[in-house]
Amino acid sequence: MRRKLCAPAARNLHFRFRPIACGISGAREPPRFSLNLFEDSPIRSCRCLRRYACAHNLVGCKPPRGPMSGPPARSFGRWAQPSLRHEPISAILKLSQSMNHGPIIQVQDLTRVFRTYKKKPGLIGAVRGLFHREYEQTAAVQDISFTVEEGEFVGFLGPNGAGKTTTLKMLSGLLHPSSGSASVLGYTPWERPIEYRRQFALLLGQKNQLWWDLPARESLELNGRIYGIPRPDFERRVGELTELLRVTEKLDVMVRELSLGERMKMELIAALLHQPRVLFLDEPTIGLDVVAQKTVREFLRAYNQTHRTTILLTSHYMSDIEALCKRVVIIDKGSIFFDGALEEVMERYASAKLLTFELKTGAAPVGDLSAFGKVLEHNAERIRLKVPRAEVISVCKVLLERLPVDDLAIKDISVEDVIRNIFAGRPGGDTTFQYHKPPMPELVAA
Amino acid sequence: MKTYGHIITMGIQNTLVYRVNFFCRAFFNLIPLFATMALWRAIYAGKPAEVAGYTLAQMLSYYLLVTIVEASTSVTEDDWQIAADIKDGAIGQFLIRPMDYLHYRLCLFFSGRAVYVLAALVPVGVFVLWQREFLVPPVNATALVVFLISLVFSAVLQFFLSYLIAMLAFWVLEISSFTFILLACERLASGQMFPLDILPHWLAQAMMWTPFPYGTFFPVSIYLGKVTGVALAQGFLLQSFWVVALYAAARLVWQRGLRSYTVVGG
Repeated sequence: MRRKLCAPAARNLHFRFRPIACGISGAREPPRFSLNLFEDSPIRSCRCLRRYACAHNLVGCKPPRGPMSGPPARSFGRWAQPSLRHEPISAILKLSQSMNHGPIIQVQDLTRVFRTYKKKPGLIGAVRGLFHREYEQTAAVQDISFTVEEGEFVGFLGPNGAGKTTTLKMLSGLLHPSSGSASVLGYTPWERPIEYRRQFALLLGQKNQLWWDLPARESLELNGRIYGIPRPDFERRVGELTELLRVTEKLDVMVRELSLGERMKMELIAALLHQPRVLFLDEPTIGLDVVAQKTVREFLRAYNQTHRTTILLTSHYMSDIEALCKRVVIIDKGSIFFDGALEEVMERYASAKLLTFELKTGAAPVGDLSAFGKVLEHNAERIRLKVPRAEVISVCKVLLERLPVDDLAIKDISVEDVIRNIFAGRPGGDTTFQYHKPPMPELVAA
Repeated sequence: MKTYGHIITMGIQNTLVYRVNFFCRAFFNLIPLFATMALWRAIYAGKPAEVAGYTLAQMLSYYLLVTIVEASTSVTEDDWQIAADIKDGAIGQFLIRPMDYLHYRLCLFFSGRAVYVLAALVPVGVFVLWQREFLVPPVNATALVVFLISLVFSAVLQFFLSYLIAMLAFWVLEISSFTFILLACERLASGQMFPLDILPHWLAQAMMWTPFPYGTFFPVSIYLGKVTGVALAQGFLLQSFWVVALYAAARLVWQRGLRSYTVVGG
């Protein structure tokens, strides 16, 4: 309980590590730091610092035992300077990085080329393939660069095969890039240093990481041991996370008997137990029902806010991105062509909604509707319109009054459409989708 | 250490699902065993007092012991599972966590063995009791202790061999032909079919330089008192050498495999 009280207070710490010798990112030489603790620091004892370290998953950072003597600032300064040098570099790096204001993820010109075997069609092609193979180079990701600050929640958008997952895999060290560089928390991901692995998590929505034939609790327990989470912390975190995700009573159910949503929540808990500083989520809500999607989404938002965990998320659901990410990076065919605030994308490219009117059978045909919006489909049974957001309600009102409507559906434009529109907005592209706020016309009967 | 303990308990719980499978396998393995024993009885009925230095009781004990050693040390599902992990990308979660795949698999192997021994206990136990007149006791207490130690080595050795073969899944789509080759080598060269002493001396000697006899033949020979003194020390040395060498090879091939996995594939 006491730990719980200390953790939030420690977020606005007033002590800093000042690098003396060398840079932080990818440092192989042990960097030396001096510790300046200000008088008004909330950290008044070694124990408190230890708690802070624990809350931030700073393994191996052990202040000296025994009570502190003298004013806190001086005593911290005293032990820190000579003895921190002997602490594991990783602990110091972690502390210093959390204090440093540089970006937590830096990606520079990252490229990943896959070599695929091109088989000629038919049996002859198969036989020929035995002797001579033609390979094709496809760039899954091409020259992408971006930076992410600590605590940011960034959404990765793009159609299937755009390179989102490849990017996340490279950032978590599962794939080696063909060229370019990346640094996450100061580490090069594909070198897979143990210290890096302790501080991030990757959740692939399409893959199962829990033991299928055992209760989820067992898998969580295993993760607890792998990351060396102290017992009381483990219990507390499992308790909190299962409660927030409403799966407490599912802990002892075999994983194979869980619903998709429950399983995904368990996967999420398993990924968060060690309190990663960076979290990569690949389609965490894929296939979930609306309620589960909403729970996961709300949970992620709260988690990002309270823990300041940096999260990179890919999703097909616009609503996920909309609810969670202030910033979005849009990738298609391996390159980034939009990186910025979500509002900007939505205003520019998803400024319309799709209205579908199912008409009563045998109704009189309706005249031209193009004044209301872009007509996508217009026949005796159905009318589909793309209407600017601001006018959705008024258009609905008018059309519901005037048309023999049986059913009405209002939909957001899908992510894929948004991306297509971004293409359309680019020079040389199709620029027909632009609205000039037409006045509300009278409906003319045919 | 706590991690590995927990993996073993999880593995045991998980493998208990296969207990009936294991029981059946252990049970039906007894049928060829019974046939082999009957064959040897027929051979000895033609009145040779000894074949290749084995009395009838020793020969029959040999096969009983091979069954016991096999049940407690041989690899059953592990190589397929490892290959599957590589192919479907499940090894990814070991690359992103501070955890070692080889150690993880070794733990699972041990838990698998524990469950197998448990499942095989009844059928094999009953069979051995039934044929107890043919099971000679170990020559002395030391032999028993050395036999048990050697058993652990033999289990680890066989695991590393299978692990190495399973690593081929990084490069080839289907590893089954390779596992069958390994299986054939093991059956012949490890003495599961017959005691290697039956072979011409030079061939038996040559085989002792390969890792295979240290899976089954060597521990059984210790029990029967066929290897003692200098030969025993030499055998142990070779067994340990193979354990270390195969471990190193497993590490190396894993590194290579990962390189192709992360650099080429994905």
